[in-house]
Amino acid sequence: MFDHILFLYVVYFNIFIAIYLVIYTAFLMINMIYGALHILRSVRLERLHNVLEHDFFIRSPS
Amino acid sequence: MIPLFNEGKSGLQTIDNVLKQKYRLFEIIIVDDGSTDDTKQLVIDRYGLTLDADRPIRYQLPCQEIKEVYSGRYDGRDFTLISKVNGRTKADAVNAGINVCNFPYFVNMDGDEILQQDALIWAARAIVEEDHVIGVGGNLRISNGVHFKDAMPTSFHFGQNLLPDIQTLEYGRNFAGARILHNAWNANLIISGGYGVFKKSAVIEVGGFDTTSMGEDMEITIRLHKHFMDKKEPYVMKYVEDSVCWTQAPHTFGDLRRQRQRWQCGLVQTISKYKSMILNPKYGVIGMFMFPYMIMYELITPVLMLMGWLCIAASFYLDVANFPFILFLYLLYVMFSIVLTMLSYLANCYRRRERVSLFDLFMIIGLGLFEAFVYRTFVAFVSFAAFFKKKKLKKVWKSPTRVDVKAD
Repeated sequence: MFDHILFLYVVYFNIFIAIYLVIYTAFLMINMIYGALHILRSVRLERLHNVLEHDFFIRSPS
Repeated sequence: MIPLFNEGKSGLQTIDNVLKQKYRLFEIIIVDDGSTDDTKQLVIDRYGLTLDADRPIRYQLPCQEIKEVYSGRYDGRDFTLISKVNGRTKADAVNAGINVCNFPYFVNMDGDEILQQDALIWAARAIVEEDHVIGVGGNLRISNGVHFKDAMPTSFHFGQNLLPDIQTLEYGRNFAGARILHNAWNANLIISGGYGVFKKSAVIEVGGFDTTSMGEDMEITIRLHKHFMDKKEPYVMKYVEDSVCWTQAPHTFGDLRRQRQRWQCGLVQTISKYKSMILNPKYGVIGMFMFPYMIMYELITPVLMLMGWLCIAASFYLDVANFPFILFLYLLYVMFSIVLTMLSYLANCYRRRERVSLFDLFMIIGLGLFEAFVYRTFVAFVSFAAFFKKKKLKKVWKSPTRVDVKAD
């Protein structure tokens, strides 16, 4: 009886944890990709901002 | 706002670094929460403060009695030091600080931190860029082993202290990974107690920081979400990754155990307090997604981890274990974890134009292995134990052992 319960525990826990990990991994990947894209975009925007600021001060007649 | 409890030496360093902020429009409020050492005198002597007996205090938030108020001006900044009866929690000290605060926004931080020179500029920018900003969470990074000059990091290398090194990677992964996406949904459930900016009127409206909570930072963040959603008023709580504050990580297993058990208890307390929000469509993404996510992937993780070990043991006992497959799966998990850690660390370095040496990359692999095999198991065990010793962990403001921050 004990072995039977243990066996059911092993089977059902494995099924549960497989689904759990698939969802977790998918969400983690979405998080990381979004985070990385966000960081890349902020770096690009900052560079653009620096260029515009530089252009403005160089070309400004005043 | 810098609450101090027997943290004179590190407190002075924190205040000195706040004075180096590029953003200039602020006052400094130091709350001495009934320190039993010379913290109060150190602050008075260093900044030349004098007793301000006539200062009126409007007790808008409940806190322990404020005994004395000192004030003065140093390096062009207004200083207020309040000396109060010990309230046993940081929340009580912060509430007392809010009662004497003159500005519409306040920064909640600890007494052992270095606020990066441009941190307040970034936070202020986030506040003025958008309407209805009631909170800004910053990027908390680990200061152990980092060398600073004028409140800016100048150099850091892994390999100086094992536990803080692992926490450097752990914090980087959590902040770069999760919080940026949650921020896009205005659904960050925590503005760290280590560094966060709050709108004073909003915090007063919800009754201030909860002095009974062990995770007062998460509690106030969720309370603010709930309050404004209930009232159907627009509000924004932002996470700004460029607004950086450097904090000390526990460098002994004892301090780490206490910290994680406190976090776990705070999480349990907060989730049970706001259980009405779980899967409640009225609270949008927070109710329908963030709460279930937090329960499934933070609250019960230690339980699942231990159940996993039990499952492996049971499969060996029943002779149904496929050992090569278990090993393969575990190594896959370790590799995946190291790749994620490395990606988030490199992304952070790229953002701040920090140099990464080949040695650091090898160290990340080594630390990732240690983290997967030892660190996470340790954290899972101590977090699991926290479920059973909630009463013993009754919140007491006790500072962990500090190490000197290297600053010029």
